[in-house]
Amino acid sequence: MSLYLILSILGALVLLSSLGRGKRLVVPLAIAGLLGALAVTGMGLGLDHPLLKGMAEFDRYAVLFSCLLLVLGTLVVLLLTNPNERSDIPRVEMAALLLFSLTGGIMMASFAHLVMLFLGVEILSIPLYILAGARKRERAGNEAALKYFITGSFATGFLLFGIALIYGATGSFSTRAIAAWAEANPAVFTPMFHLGLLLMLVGLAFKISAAPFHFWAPDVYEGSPSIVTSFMSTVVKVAAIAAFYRLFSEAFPAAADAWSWVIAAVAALTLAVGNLGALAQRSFKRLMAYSGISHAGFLLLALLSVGPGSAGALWIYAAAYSFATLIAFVSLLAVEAAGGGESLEALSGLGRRNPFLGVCLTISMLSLIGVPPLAGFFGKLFVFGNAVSQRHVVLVVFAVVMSAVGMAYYMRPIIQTWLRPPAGSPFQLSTSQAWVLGIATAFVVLLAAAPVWVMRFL
Amino acid sequence: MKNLLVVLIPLLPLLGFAVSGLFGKRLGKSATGLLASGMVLLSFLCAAALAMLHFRTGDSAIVVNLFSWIRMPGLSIPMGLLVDPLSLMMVFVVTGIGFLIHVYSIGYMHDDDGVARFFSYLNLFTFFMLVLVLADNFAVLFIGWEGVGLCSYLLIGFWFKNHAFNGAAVKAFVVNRIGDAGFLLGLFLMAMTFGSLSFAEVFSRAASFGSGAPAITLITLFLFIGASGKSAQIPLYTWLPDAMAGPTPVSALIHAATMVTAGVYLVIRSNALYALAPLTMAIIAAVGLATAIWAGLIALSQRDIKKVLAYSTVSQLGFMFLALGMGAWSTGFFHVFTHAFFKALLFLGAGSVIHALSGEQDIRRMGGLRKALPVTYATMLAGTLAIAGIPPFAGFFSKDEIFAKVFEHAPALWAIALAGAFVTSFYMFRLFFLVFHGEFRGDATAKHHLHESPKVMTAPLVVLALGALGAGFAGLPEIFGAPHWISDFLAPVTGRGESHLSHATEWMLMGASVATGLLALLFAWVRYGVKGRVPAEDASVTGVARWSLGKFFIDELYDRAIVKPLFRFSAWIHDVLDRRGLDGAVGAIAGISPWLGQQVRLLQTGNTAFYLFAMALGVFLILFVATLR
Amino acid sequence: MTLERCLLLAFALFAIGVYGALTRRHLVGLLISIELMLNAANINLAAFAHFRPGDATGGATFALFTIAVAACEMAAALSIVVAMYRRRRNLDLDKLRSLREPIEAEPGAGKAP
Repeated sequence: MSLYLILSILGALVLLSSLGRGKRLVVPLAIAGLLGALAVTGMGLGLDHPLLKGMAEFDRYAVLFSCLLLVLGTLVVLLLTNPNERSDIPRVEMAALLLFSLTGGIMMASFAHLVMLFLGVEILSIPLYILAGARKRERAGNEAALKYFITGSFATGFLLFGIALIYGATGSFSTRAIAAWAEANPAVFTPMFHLGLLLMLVGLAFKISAAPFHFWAPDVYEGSPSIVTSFMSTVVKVAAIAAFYRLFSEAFPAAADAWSWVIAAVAALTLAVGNLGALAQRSFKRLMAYSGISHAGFLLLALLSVGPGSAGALWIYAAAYSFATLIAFVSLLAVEAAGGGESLEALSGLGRRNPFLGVCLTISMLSLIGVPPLAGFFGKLFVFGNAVSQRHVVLVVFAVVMSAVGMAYYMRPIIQTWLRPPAGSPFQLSTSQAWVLGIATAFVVLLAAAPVWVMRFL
Repeated sequence: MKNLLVVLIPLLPLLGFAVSGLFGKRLGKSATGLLASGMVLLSFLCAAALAMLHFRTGDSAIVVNLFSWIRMPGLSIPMGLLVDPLSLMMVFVVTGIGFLIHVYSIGYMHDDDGVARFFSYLNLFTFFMLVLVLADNFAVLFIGWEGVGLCSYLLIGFWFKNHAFNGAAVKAFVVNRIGDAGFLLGLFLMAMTFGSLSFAEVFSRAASFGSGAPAITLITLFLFIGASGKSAQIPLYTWLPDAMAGPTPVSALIHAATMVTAGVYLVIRSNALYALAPLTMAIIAAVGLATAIWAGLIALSQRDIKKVLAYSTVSQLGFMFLALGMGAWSTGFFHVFTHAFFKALLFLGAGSVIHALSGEQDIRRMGGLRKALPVTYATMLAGTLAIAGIPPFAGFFSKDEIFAKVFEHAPALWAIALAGAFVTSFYMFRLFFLVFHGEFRGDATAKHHLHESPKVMTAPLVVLALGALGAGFAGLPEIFGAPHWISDFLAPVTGRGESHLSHATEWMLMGASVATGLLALLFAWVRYGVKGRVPAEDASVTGVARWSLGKFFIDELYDRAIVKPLFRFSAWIHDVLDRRGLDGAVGAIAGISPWLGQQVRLLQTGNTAFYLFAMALGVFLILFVATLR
Repeated sequence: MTLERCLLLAFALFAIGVYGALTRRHLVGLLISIELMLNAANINLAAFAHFRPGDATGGATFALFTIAVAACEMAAALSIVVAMYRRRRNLDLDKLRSLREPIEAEPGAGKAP
């Protein structure tokens, strides 16, 4: 409760501060507020009590995912202070919108009632529709915003209709009550319940950009300002998968027969589309978009093996993916600021132009491949291990083959960075970029030591 | 003290990597080289100290648990290092030969701009290789396994600065990833079956399964897929010849002496599992023998000095796997040990030749180099004699032991393997005579530039030549009455193999293999030494120039009956099967992914209406299938 | 009025909405179609709240929330659409095709290496 309030008020304050002379204070204010929110979340650990008359619940799962979202959100807001960034972006409004969107993400990680889920999805999405078009003078931004809005609200229609049908079938919006109903009527799932379940699945599959609901992602990622793209591919994806897992593990575990095959099929298709699509890319930004699609497939595998340890596996995978992706986008921002474009060739010789950035980018790509002992390796290890123990052997074999394909395209930035002649003169990172890179890289490396802790905690 | 030494062994090269990577430019070329070599030498000395302190007392293993790495219900994996006779021997090979190659590189890479980068990669490789051999469980081993693969990739690509990232490198990558996927599946299966990945626990729990248990067979098969990817066995061997694009010291260290033997090491390490899987053993023996012959035949017709050596490495690895397939673990390792010496020597010698010729690699433009490069000539001769199996050089003892084990189990395979030995000896002496004897076939400027390599390069050659001469005495055959030192030392890990052959049979086998080696030497001498044939003629050997009586008869017989069919077969294998068959299959797999990627890409038309339609179609399909169920 | 009729109406509205979203090329028509889909769900919510025992206030409240959220969404959408109209002077969805995979194929990407 207090977390939602803190973030919403923070967003409002940021907006207000733009009225006077407070513009320079905006980002420090937002960062301070976010760190405060992080502290509050940390202190709320173990309190577990239901909020808002049982509509939300900050259990360990919610706290851990909220912390991840807050850290990611803080890092993205930090990137806004970068003086090298092009000046045609409205920083204050963007900071405020990012905060609102983050609030929605946290609601999605902590809901216990479908109203909260729906509100979370919408509060997350609506600011993003606007953020995608934040560069008002660019046609691409406007097109991205429209495409995102049209496909997004189409998916929302399915989600809402699904919620309504579930309500009709079970008579409640509370995840506990729905689970209890499904438990009590194991054999006689009504068609209405079935249909509602699948429509909700579709709505959420859109948010994590799983195939065949992924088409928006490459276009929107490309058209949006890179800062916004970094937010979409990290915070939005983490929040969506957190909500996805929370919904299906808490409300629908008894109906697993009705949905696990859909998840398996969608995961397989997503893995194929994401990895194969990325192979043919020349633009680093689009490559990362397809990379995001492929990791949505890996994350879906975690949903197939709901049980002890699977939430921990999901968290580790999501954290490993999002920190590594954030590093990739910071590299992209830095290279763009230094005069390069979004193509892979722009990364050429990056290791000599800025060795620190080169090393961080390499670590990030290696973690995305799943090279031990980086965080990404543990994510894959746990997710695959859980799925194998649930007898999804064929799917895991397919996923392993697809991650082999992944190696082929993640090596391309590394090759550009180290084995090609520099595409320009050496350049400096801004302070905020260096901080974000350092923190995210530290997470990618240090998470390797944490799996024990996360698994025990969840 | 002991634990500290164990940790220092891999840590020192890592330190070297960090320092030369970060400050290499400031240190200067020679300082970086000395630093990198020094770190590997120190690591070697640590291992030596450990051997003196610990292994004389008769204990068999030290386990150092650094920290608990993964702890889950049902599976816990410590970050642990294990030093036992097997890993200690491997450490000696990696650091000892690695040190010599580092020193050699100081000279070889002297004119290159990226020396610091080169040495830092080389040290990083050494670190991962040491992690691989020192691991005390399969998970840590996998870290090293992936790490050496990555470094190998970086080093192959070292000279690819301005070229397009070519298909060969992609192929090397895809092939290795197929192997790694097999390895990973094996690990998952192992964790599921035994609930552990630690060597000790897995091997002791496996004992209760009994011979031929399906789970064990499957695990061992998957691990062997991994091993055959890394150790370049059929059908995953095609990447190794392509990997010769890297600098020659890299070929010597990674693609001859150490990394490619990781697969052999994996099988020896897991011998407790393989002993329970007779089916897998049979497959290993078959694949090993087939690879040994196949690659040997291809080597016959190669014209690039490094390609000949690369196929020869593939072939020798095949012999190692043949020994493993017979259950002769220590024998297989013995050949790893001797092969490391003479193959590193041959590659470094080849590097010295290439260095002298300013980068020329085609043996048709060499010849008569023995006067210009006396040290290289002498040491290469030692290496060639060793690989051909001429006593008392190292290769003789290890190869003879393999042949004895094969004869004991399957005399028919022995005959085929003997033919393989003939081919080996022939192509090596062909190379040797073509490079060092006869007249120089290059142009005048190249002749003018001919020079022996600097001392920093020849010194490692001499040391390795001594090794190629002496390494075999570590494993004298039983009939010589001396102790088989390697087999005794490895006994705690591999068990002790029993030999049931009579002394007379052993003498006979030994005689047969020496005779085969000498016969091939003779043929090669006649063809390339005396008659000065150059491979370019091979395709057009129709008219015979001289009708000298007796010579003609032998020569023609030899040409018609043995050499020409062999060359045809070799060329056929290379052209038809190798390039179009296997290579094509691998290429097709590597090729179909980009094609599929292209199709995915083409769907992304930018048309929002189509995106909405695809979503609706997805929903419809899901609902449709749901109603069917 | 029975529950079945309400549901039938809702499903019909939803189907019309989906059909419209798939066939309309004009952005305003598209927005209206999406609004239809949301309102179909609202009818469901209200109908269930009225006819089914259980959490009756929940359904009605949810419908109110949805209306409010949909209003916000449409406000944001219209601002984006207006921005588009200012720049392009038309509202045709098919004209929005500058963000896509590059038309020319990457050399060699479609062939085996």
